[in-house]
Amino acid sequence: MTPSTPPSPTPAEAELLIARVLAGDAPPKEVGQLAALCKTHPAILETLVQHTLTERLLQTTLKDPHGTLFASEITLRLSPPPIVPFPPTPREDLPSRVHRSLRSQRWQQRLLQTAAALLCGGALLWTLSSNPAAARIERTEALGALSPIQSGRALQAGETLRFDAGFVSLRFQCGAQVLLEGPAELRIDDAWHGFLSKGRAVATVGRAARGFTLDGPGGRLVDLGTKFAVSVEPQKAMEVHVLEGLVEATAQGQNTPVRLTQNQALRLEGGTSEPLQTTDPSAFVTLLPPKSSAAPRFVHWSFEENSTRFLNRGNGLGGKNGQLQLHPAPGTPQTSALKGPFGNALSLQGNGTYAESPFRGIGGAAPRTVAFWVQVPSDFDPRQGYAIVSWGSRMQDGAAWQISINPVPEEGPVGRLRVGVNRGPVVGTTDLRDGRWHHCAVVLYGGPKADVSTHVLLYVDGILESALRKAVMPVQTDTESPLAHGIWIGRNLSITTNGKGPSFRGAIDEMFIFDSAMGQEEIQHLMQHNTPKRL
Amino acid sequence: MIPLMSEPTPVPSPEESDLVRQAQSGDLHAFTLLVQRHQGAIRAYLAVRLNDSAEAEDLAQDTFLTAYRKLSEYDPTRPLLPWLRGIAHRLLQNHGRKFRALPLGGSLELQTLLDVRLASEWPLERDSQRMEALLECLDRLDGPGRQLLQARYAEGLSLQELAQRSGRKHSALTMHLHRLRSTLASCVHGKIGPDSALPTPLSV
Repeated sequence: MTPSTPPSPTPAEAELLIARVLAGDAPPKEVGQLAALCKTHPAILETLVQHTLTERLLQTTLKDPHGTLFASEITLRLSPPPIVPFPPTPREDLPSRVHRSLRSQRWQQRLLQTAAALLCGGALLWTLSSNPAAARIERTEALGALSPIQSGRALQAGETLRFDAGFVSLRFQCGAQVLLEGPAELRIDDAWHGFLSKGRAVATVGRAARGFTLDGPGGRLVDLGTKFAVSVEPQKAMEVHVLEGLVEATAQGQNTPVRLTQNQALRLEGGTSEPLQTTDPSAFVTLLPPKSSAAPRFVHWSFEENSTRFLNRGNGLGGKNGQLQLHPAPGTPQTSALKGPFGNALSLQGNGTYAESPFRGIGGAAPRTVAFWVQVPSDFDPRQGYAIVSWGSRMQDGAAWQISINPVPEEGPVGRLRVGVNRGPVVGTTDLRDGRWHHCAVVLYGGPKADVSTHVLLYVDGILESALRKAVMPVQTDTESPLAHGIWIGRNLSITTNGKGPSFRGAIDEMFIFDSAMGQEEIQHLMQHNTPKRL
Repeated sequence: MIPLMSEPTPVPSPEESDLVRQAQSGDLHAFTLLVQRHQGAIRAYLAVRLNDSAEAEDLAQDTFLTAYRKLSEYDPTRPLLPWLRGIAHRLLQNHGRKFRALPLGGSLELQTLLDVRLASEWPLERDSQRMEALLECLDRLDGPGRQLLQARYAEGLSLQELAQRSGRKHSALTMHLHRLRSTLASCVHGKIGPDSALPTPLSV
């Protein structure tokens, strides 16, 4: 039987198809369509060939049109190596000097590996006498570890780092930085090698550390570039996403590595490697919140005023809209002030009373921290758990930002701190239904596609909560649409305009909303001093 | 793998023979002059046959380093370029055995079609002619088109990054780049003629 010939596309259709395939935008169906057309339409294949040839030559000619740098590099590589002084100069000095003088990525890579080896060798001799650590923890926002995870702690070769939730940033002796996302288990093999048996990691490998190797159940990854993300699933499949640069990936038991460049991804499983058609590197947290010297902007309602209007005691976030207005429910007695951890607190009876600010909150996927004290009665009624603080809208999934006490057993244990974004809640583990004051903080690590499943951390009384995350849901808080409104305190986002429906019963004090993601140390400082650490 | 075509064996210029002899005696400057003379042909030969420009540049570097190491075995009365291409060809073969790149669009079928076509025999000097013609065509291109090519291919920005930087839609950038490649390919063919015995590409 003769295979059927695909119908002839118009030239414009064929050009569009080729453009999309070369740009990496085409779904598998379109790629297959182009392959079929190339087999039966020589002119289409020829067009694809001409574009491919042009593209390949453009990369070479535009980077070094006349080969001047290329020839210089050859000369440099054949010249006698420079004498590196010992003890070494600071690690970055030689690579940065070399970087200035060279342009070719690979040549840079080789020379820098040599330079790095010299420098690492010198550094190793120096460190062997004083500190044999293969890696060192730089920052930690993690919990559930068998052994203490503290910033600055040295990790010896052979040591395994395990934790249940949160993030740990560590730096290998060779210079490679690895940001681990829990639950994770990483064995430090030596200054250049690690074995990730569980969890997600983003490796940032400077020029001096090229060759850094991360093994896993699915295979081996060797970084020849600058940054890659890897996840190891419970079923032992391994996925690698190249964020920048170049990575060599070799499936377990195989000898031939696959080279991946920026925006390419591969799944390593059962001795095989399979390209992933779609990559989502932004699902990985690539950086812990920077410890910037600049003060974050914030809103602060302390609820000191014995009135229906509360001042914003922050430092500019919200601008003129930063004040908070109490709306007592019709026919209900005026809400009463209560003594909180710092002066007066806002007491709400679950009767429809709520407070509102014209400030619409922090939108999109921008980083944020919401911190407050809350007192939840021991006779907590799930109908009164929603909406300690909320903004956004329910216009679409991910458009809301609502912090509450979880009232829905199907979505996690009742009575725990909860963040909802309209589908995909995150629920903590500490039962808050004890009538005592607890300090709560919710942190969203920003990013192009910040997701509740990975980018949200909960803290109760200054300690990172192990959280239940049932859904992958990008955070896209709506502060722009007509459905969005100002920040509400004590009112469920789903309450209709007539004010009927569940509202919060309990007490709230010292509500802070920051436009940055805060670390544990900063949250603990806020809890203890009621003022941001940087001020 | 692409078969090497037999080429006429021109006699090297006396100047080139002298440079080779000087390089054989350890004169690095003489070897650098030889690199400058032939880098375009070797870089183009490898760039056309590899879908990763960094890999191509890497192998081109290795070609000249290997040549320098083996220079004492080389007969200076013979032309240098075919010898260099032979080294590049062997390095390319070894590279193909060790590494496999991800296929275009994730389709092995499409990549095979492309590889077979790219392996079609054409005179090896056509690679360097194509690159030289492309340089001339690029010189005639300026304005936003040139800036886009520079950002995409020299700076290595992704389409996503370009879209963020320029505020243009991803699809618009895709088609703009496509049109620029078409223009350049036509310009190149205008200078060196179409690849012989091949179908005429689409014209839109």
